[in-house]
Amino acid sequence: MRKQDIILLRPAFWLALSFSCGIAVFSAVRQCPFFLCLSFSLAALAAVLLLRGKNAVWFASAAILCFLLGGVWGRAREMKPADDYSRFLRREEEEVYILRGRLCGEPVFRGSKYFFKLKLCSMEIRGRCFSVSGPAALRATFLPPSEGAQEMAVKCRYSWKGLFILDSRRDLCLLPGKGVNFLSGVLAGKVKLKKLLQYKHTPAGAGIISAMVLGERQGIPFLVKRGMLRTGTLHLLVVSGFNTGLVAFFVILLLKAARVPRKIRLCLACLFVAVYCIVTGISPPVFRAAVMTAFILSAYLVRREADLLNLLGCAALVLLVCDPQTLFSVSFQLSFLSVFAIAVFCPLFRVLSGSAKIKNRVLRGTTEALITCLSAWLGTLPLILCYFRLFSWAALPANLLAVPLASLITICGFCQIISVPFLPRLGGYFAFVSDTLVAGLVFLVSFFEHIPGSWVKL
Amino acid sequence: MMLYFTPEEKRALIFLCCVLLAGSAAEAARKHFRRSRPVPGVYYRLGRLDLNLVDRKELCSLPGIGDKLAERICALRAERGRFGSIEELREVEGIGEAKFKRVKEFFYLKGRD
Repeated sequence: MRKQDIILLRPAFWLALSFSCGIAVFSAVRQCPFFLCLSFSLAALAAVLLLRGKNAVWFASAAILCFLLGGVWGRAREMKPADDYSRFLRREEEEVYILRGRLCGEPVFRGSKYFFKLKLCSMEIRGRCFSVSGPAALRATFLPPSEGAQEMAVKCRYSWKGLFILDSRRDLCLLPGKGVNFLSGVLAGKVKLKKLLQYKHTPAGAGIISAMVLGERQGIPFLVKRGMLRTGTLHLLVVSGFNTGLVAFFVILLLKAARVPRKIRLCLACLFVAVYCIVTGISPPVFRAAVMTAFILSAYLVRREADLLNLLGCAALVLLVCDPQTLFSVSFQLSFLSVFAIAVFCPLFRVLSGSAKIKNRVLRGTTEALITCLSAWLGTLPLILCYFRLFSWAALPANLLAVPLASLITICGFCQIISVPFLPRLGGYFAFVSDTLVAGLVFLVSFFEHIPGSWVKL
Repeated sequence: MMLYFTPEEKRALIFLCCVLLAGSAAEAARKHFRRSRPVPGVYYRLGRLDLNLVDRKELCSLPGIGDKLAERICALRAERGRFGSIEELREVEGIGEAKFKRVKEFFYLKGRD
C-alpha cells in the first residue's frame, strides 16, 4: 500500500490531527495572525498541487481547512479576559459573593475540607449581577451534593489565589436546571445505580467497583489509589471502551433474546451508550469510548468494517468541536494517545514477535496481551513522565495481571446492576465474586508497589 | 432461544453462568465456615497499613501526616511496645478528633479487625 493511500484511507484521523494542531498552534503562538497562517497554508497547498496528484490536493485542502478551523474555533472558545471572574474580585473579609454555576468534577476531600469546582455562569456582588465564565474553586466543611445537582448558587467569601470559602450548608442552594431535565433525570438515575452497585459490598469493594462501573472515584481508599498510580494501573479505575462495549453488548444480548429486529437493537444500543456516557460524567475517555462504540455499531449496521485510527479521529473531532480546550486536559491526551499507540505499535510488535504463528492458544493470548500492554505503556510513557514525573517498570507485568481481574470486576458490576432489582440474592453472589476479585487486585497492586525499585519518582 | 445467539454470545453467557456458580459456591462456603464474621478481615484490611508495622517513611507519605506527627506516632508505639487499638492514636499530640477521623481510615491492627 502506498503512503498516499494510507493517508487517504484514514481521512478522519488526519483531519482530527490537523484540527488538533490548529488548536495547539493558535493557542501557543498568541500573536499568530490569521492571514499569515492562511498564506502559509495556501503556499503548502500550491506545493502539494505541483508535487502530488488530484486526490492529494483535495485532501491537503481539507486538512488545511481543518487546521485553520481548529485554530479559529479554539481561539473563539477560549475564556475571554472580559468574562474572567477574577476582575470582579476584591480580597476583603466581609465581601460576600453569590456564585451561580454547574458543579464540574468530583469534590475532593483534603485536610478535613472538601474542595470542588463550579463552572461559573454568573456572579452577584454588591447587589449587581455579572455574567462570567471559567471555573471557580470552592472549599467547604461539608460534602456538596454532587449527584443530580445541575446548577447551584453559593454564598461565599473570597480567600486567596482564586479560592472561595463556603461557610455552612445553608449558604448553598440548588437551582432548578434550565432545560436540562433529561440530564437531571439521568444524574438522579446514577444515584440509584450507585445504590444497586453497592449492594452487599464491603466499603473498599464498593468504592473500587463504583469507580470502575460508574466513574465515581470518591470511595477509593487513598493507599489503593496511590498504589495504582505507582504501578501504572490507575487507568483501570477510568470508565473506558471496555465499559461502553459491555453496555452495548448487554443491551444487544437482552434485545436479541426478546427477538427485537437488528436495526432497532443497534440503535437502542447506541442510545444506551449515550445515556451511560452522561451518567459517568462525560469525561474525555468516556466520550471517546462512547463515540467510538457508536461508530462501530453504525459500521455494524451498514455492514462495513471499522478502522481503529479512523474511529479515533472521529471521536477526537467530535470532542474537540464540542470543546476545543479539552485538547489540553491530561485525561484527553492519555486516553487518545494510549489508543493511538495500541493502533500503531500493536501490528508492529505482532510482526516482530511472530505472535500469529504461535499455536498454543494460551501462549498466543498472553503474547497478545503483553503486546497491547507494551504498546499502551510506550505510548503514554512521555506523558506520564511529563505530568506525573513517575517511571514504573512494574506497569507492564502489573497490567498484564490486573487487566483481566479489572475486566471481570466490571463485568460482575454490570451483572449486579441488572440482577439486584429482580433477584437480589443473585446480585449478592455477583457482589461476593467482585469483592473477592477486588481483594485480589488490591493485593496484586500492593505486591508490585512494594517491589524495591519498581517505580521511581523523578 | 440459545440457538438464536452467535457462538461468541453463547460463550459470554456460559462464562457469566460460571461466574455466578463460582460466586454462589464461594458464598455458601464462606457462610458455612465463617458464621461469626460476616466481613472477613481480608476485606477490612484492603487499602490499609498495619499500624504496628508501618515505618516512619511510610507514615510521612500519608496525607495529613507530616514528619513530626509520624515521629510522635512511632515514639508512642516504641514506648508502648505496640498499639492495642486504633483509638490510641488520639493520644498522639497533634491528632484531634477531625484528624483522627481521617487518619484512622489508613490503618488496621492485625488480629483486631
